Formats: sequence, structure tokens, C-alpha cells
Amino acid sequence: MMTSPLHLQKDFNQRMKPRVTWLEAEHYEKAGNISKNIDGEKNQWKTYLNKLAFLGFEEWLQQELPDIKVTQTGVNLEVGDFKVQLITVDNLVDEFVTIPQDNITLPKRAAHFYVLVEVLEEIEQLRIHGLIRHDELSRLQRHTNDDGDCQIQLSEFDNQINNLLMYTRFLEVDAIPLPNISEKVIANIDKATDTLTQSLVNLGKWWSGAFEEGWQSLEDILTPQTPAWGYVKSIVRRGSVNKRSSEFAVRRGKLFDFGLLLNGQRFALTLSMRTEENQEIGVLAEIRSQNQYCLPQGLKLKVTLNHNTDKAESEEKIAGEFDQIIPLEFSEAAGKQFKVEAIYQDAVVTEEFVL
Amino acid sequence: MRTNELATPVRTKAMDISTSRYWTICIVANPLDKNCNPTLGYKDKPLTLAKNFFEEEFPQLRNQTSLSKEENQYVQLNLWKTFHNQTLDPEQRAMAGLCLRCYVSYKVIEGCHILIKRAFGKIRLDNLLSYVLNDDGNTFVIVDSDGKTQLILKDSGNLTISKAGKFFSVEVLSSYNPNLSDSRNSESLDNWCIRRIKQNKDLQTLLLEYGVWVPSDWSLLCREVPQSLSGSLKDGVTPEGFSSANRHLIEVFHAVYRRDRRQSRSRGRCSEPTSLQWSEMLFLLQDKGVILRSEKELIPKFKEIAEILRQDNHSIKTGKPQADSIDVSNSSEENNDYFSKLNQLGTEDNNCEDMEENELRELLNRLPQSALYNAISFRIPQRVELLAAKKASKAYAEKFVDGLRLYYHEVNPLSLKEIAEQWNINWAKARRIFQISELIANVQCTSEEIFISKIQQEASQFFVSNISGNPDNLKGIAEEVRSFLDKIAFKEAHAEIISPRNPYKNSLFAQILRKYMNH
Repeated sequence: MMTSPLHLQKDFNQRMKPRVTWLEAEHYEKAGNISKNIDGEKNQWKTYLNKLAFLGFEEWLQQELPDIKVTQTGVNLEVGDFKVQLITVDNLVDEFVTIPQDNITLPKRAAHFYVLVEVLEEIEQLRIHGLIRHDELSRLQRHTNDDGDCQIQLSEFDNQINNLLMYTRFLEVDAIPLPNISEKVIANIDKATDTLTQSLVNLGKWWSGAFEEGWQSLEDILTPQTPAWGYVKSIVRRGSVNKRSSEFAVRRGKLFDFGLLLNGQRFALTLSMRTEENQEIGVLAEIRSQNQYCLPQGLKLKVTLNHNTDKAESEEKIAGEFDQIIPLEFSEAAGKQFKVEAIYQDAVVTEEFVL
Repeated sequence: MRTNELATPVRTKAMDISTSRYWTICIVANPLDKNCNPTLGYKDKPLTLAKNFFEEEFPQLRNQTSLSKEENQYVQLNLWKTFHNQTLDPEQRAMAGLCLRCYVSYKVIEGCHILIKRAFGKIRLDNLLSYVLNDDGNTFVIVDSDGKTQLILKDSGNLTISKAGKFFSVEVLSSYNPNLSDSRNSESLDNWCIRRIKQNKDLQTLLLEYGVWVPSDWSLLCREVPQSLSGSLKDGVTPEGFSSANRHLIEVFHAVYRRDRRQSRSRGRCSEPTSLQWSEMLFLLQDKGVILRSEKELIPKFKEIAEILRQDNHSIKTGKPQADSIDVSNSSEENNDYFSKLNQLGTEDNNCEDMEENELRELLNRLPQSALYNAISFRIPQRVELLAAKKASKAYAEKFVDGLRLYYHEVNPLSLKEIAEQWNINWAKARRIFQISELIANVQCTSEEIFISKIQQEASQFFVSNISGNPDNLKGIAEEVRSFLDKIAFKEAHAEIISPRNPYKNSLFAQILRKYMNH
């Protein structure tokens, strides 16, 4: 073994040093402004750090690749023809990091490269630790946690961030295939942003498999590992609820968002139905976030029975700080109408149904 | 084994302080002894003048080898009063200061040990010591009436402002206030000195240079609790002292302190919460059923949680995910003659089946100097441009190359700290302007690019690997290019900038950089 500590140090520094870039006052200012519009301190702080990472990394990458255009598109950075996504952490205490499954499997969100960055807010530093390619991710046996996030062991990451630059410079974009954007999906996404629907949704027809536009199977809008979809699985695992939950014969969901109010964050309103013993129909209405770990605090789900009559009665539930889902369950006779509202601050998304 | 050639002051009882601490100063020593074995990095130096002064001032203690806690306090307070008493003779004041500087020097070492522990052994004691153990006890110093300016007392009796920089020990003494009116609230000189070490900007900058960031308690508390701990939070189990009360504490800390930090766009070291923030946190805690009367009860609880979070800081401990990538090579066997290395690379493998491999090696051997030169000529102007584009660094864009010239000077290189002094800025700022380590990484990256594009252009029919269509092939080639460049230039280039004892830089990178700057 070596004896001189000086030599040991050489090795250590070669091995341990991530690429470092500095955060500037402008980055803090921008990140602060953007996070202002998010609800709940937890989400605000998260957005703040994410944005810091994003701005710092974007600038760094553009410096490294001055002749290639780097632009932001949705959750990703577009680097020439390639898409790069950040995995932002504020520490590396856990042996793994998580990526929402959607961000790997959905054509609109998938990226060629996922880059692990650590934001050191206090010392205004960004440490770029490593990357993993989409094809490598696909080959991995991925573990998903209860929230449907995909866990990636730190050891799976390639710590040579220079490789990212070599890939974007020398690879053809087809060398790393991504999930295809089929026309169907495009149509769905377009529908998803259609936040206001006036027409009555006829649930009676759902039993025979006729669904209104925008109402899709949960597998379509929530991939099995989507964060809040995990909740359903965890219900299934719990004995008594398991039985009832599996009895819901019909389940459909629709995506919606609150536009700029929540930065385009998408939610799913899902309706599940089963027949009850007294000829009534049991309905479970739920809201879950499609792409975030938690629902924004204060998001309200409100169900009003017989909303067009003077016998209207309503019930509502509000998301707390760490809620991933808001469920409301009720029973009503066939032919009756009800209204479901998703309310956030002064924005309301309404759907009306007839059973 | 580590040995210390000189006698350490004798300690009698565990709590007692050796009297000789007031007249023996710890000074920086060569980290390697004659046989190249590591030393402690510091050694004791008895000061006769200090000893004489001490015995004159405290004749009743002259035959004691150790001091009780009370005696120690008495000695310290009297020396401190003398040192700060502007009405006394400067020489007397300087002598009292010298005794205290001796005492402080031991605490400096203790403080550095604490930092090393927090850096999980990523840095050695002697790296830190040269920044704070910069007092050899040879100079008589007093502090001016402003309480800050260090004045050197010459043999002639004249006083001059210290030009060679400040003694850290004197800084500790001049900023220390034993709070004479209220002994219950007074902070000991010991604690004060450790605190000054932990807060020292130079040391923090240095630690960062080694990739070690020692976060403040408040910054640790701003983080989300890592999953490895949060699981136990949910279940209400309390391993490692993580109770539901602790969870409430973190929640209110986020709700108040973290909110304010973001809203005010605060940057830099997290400061202690304000009294307004404390009272809001106490109020919110009350709502959660946690009743604490004042911040005095709250602070230790937060410190406790921060310590748990700090213990778990793997990023510092292991540097993952970097830890397992590059083979641990036996650096002592490596020589830096890159031509011999080229030969090795060229002759290693003459198998016909490996035409591709050989061709790659041949290409690698032909290119390095010009590729490095081109990479440097691309990156330096780019850096200057970037500096000019930012408000904070605009003023230094034009001087950047001059500074770099000083840093990489062939005969008389300056450290960043020295350049910072010349430019009248602090070291941390200079570090941020120069970012030498990033500059090397930039040049390295561009060199890799140049190599790979050459390989793409020049590769013959033997070269069958599809670089652009297969990411694994590209990665393989990039790795080969990288390890070659590492060997001939960059490994040494990175190593030489963190070696504080060898300012002269002669890696192939440094040589070509000088060539570029001389043109």
C-alpha cells in the first residue's frame, strides 16, 4: 500500500469530484419568483430548488456546448435533438434517487439522458454528479416505491459527466430510442388541457363500455407506477378495502390542470362505479396528481348530489400538506345527477354526471 | 507512526490545564519527517520571553505545572485585560497577548480536528493548519484602539500596521469578549476560538476546494428529511432520537425559516433565526402540542436534529456516486514522462485482430499537444467572455489571464490567496473567479471532443466501431481517450492545484497553458 498521504489525495480527488457550477443572484431571483405561485411551503421550496438547479445547469450546459442550442421544453432541456432531464436532490443521503415513472415512459416526458444534480443552496453551488441514459434505464430492473416513483441506485449512474457532452455531440439521435408519440397520445394530451367541460357525462352508458371523449382507462392516464396510482395498489393490499375496491367494475379517469395557476401541473379526476345491494350505484370520485408526489395543499374536491334541484347536498374534502389523493365516496340511485368540482383558489374545474 | 519530536505540555489531572500552555506555542511543522513519514503537522515551541512574563505576572503560580479551572480563568482574564488595556505600556500588552496566543494555538489545532472529522477524512490536518496556525510567536503584536487593526511592536518601540497579513490567534483575541459584567453568560475563550475556526472563511473556502462542504445546522434543517430517516418518522418509531416531536420541529422550521429564506432570496451561509422567527416557530409548535417556553429551549433541540442529519451525510462520507469508478492506481509507480507512456501504449498489443485498437492508439499518440493547445485557446477566451457577462465578475474579466499567468508562473507562482490579496478581494471570490479546477475540466472535455472528432474523421476501414450509432461504443472510446489524457496531462493538472506545499506547476497542461499565454 501507499504510504505518502499526498499520493492518496491525488487519487481521491480524481475520483470524487463532481463537476461544479455556481449559482448566481439572478438564478435565486428567478427561482424565487417562480416558486411564489406554488401552493404549500414544501412544494414551494421544492420548486425553488428545482428551478435553481434547472437554471444553473442550463447555463452550464450551454457553456459546454456553445454551438448547440439548449432550450427548455416542458420538463426537459432540449439539447440539439436530444432531451435532457434533471434529477434534483439537496443531499445524497439515500443510496438512491427517484424519477416519476411517467418521466421515463410517457413520450411527452421521456428524455434521452437523466442527469443527477445536487443543489447546495447555502453555498450557491450546483454539483453535477452523473447521468444515466434512457436505454440504460430501460434495461435496468427498476424498483418502484409505493408512490410509483422509480428508484435508481446511485451506483447505476455514470459519473463521467463529460460523456453527456460526447453523446450530444457525436451520437445520432436514433441511437437512443425513446417511447413513441402515437397520435392517440397526442389527442389525449390535447384533451387533458381542456379544463372545462359543460356537457353531462352519462355514466349509465359506461357499463356497456361507451365513454365520453377524454375519459380514459386508468392504465392510459396513470401508468401503473404513476405516483398517486400507487395509492390504489396500496389500498388493494389492505385486506378489507381490497374487496370493495376490486368490486368497482367500471373505472375511468380524465386529466385536467389549472393552467398557469399551478404551472400546468396535471391531475386526474377518476370515477369508479359498482352496484350496491339496494339497487343504488356506489361511486368513488378521486383526485390525484399525475406527475407530482403530493397534491397541492388546499386543493378541494367537492361533490354535489342533485345539484340542479333544491335538494342539493354536497360534501367536500381538502388536500392537506402531504396528501397524495382526495377520495369521496357516495351512493345514489340510477338516473340521478351529480356534480364534481376540483377547486383550487379561485379556479374551478367542473364535471357533471348522470348515473 | 505519527510522532511528535518535541515534548507536549504535561497534563496532570484530566481537568487541569498545563501551565506551559501560556508560554509554549504550537507552530506549523513539516508534514513529512526526514524519512518521509507523516508527522503531526505541528510542533511545540517554548517561548522564554513568554515564560518570564508569565512568572512575573503570576509569581504565585510559578512553581505549579498545572492550573485548576478557576486558576486558569483567573489567568486568562488578567492577561486579556492587560492585552486590551490601552493605557498600559505596549510591550506589556504585547507580552500578555503573546501568552494568550500560546494558549489559543492549542485550541486552533483542536478546532481543525473538529473540521477534519466533519469532512470525514477527506482533508488532512496540515492542509488546514497553514491558514489558521499562522503565528510563530516571533512577533510582538497589540491591537489598536479600534479593536481590530493589528499593530506590530518593533524592537525600536515603534508600532507598524501588520503588512504580512493578520495572525489568526490575535484575531481570536481581539474579537473575544469575556463579558466581564455577567460571568454566567460569558463564553469561554476555548469555545470562542473553536467558533472562530468553524466560521473561518478561508477554511471554508479551502474545504470547498476539496469538495467538502460543511453545511451549517440551519442549512441541514432546511432539507427534506432523507427517506432513510423519514420511514421511521411515519411509523412514529424513534430510532436515532427521531421522535414525532422532532418531526414537528422540522415542520415549523420549514414553515418559518425556510419560507423566509426563499422569500427574501437569501444567499450564502444560513444565519441564525431572528427573534421574530423564533417566536413564530414557538407559536406554531404550541399549535402542534409542543410547548417550549423560549428559543433557549428550542435551539438545543434543533442542534440535536441537525447533528443527526449531519451524521447521515453520505455525500460527504463517500462522495457517491463517484466512489467506485476509477481504479485505485498506485500513483507512486507512475512517472510523468509521457513519451514512455506513449511507447507503452503503442506496443502493448500487436495482435492483428486488434487493428482498431492499434489505430486508436496511434491516433492518440499523434495528437495530444496540438489538441490541448487548441482546447486551451478555445476555453480561455470563453472564460473571459463569461466573466465579462456577469455583473459580479465583470471587473475581473480583463485581469483573468494576468491572474492565471501569476498562478501558473514558471519561476514564482502565486497561490489564489496571494492573488486575491494583490487584487484586494477575498479568497473565496478569487476562487469563484478563477475556478481553476473547472477550467481544467473544461479543457479536458474539449480535448476529448477534439480527439473523438479526429478519430471519426481519420479512422480507416479498419475502424469498424460505429461511434455515432451506438452509445456504448462511443462511451468506450471516450473512456479510452479520457484515461489517456488523464495519464499524460490532467491527472497531474488536477493534483498540482491542490498541493499547498508545491506551488510550482509543471503538468503537461500547465506547460501548454504557459505556452498559450506567452503567445
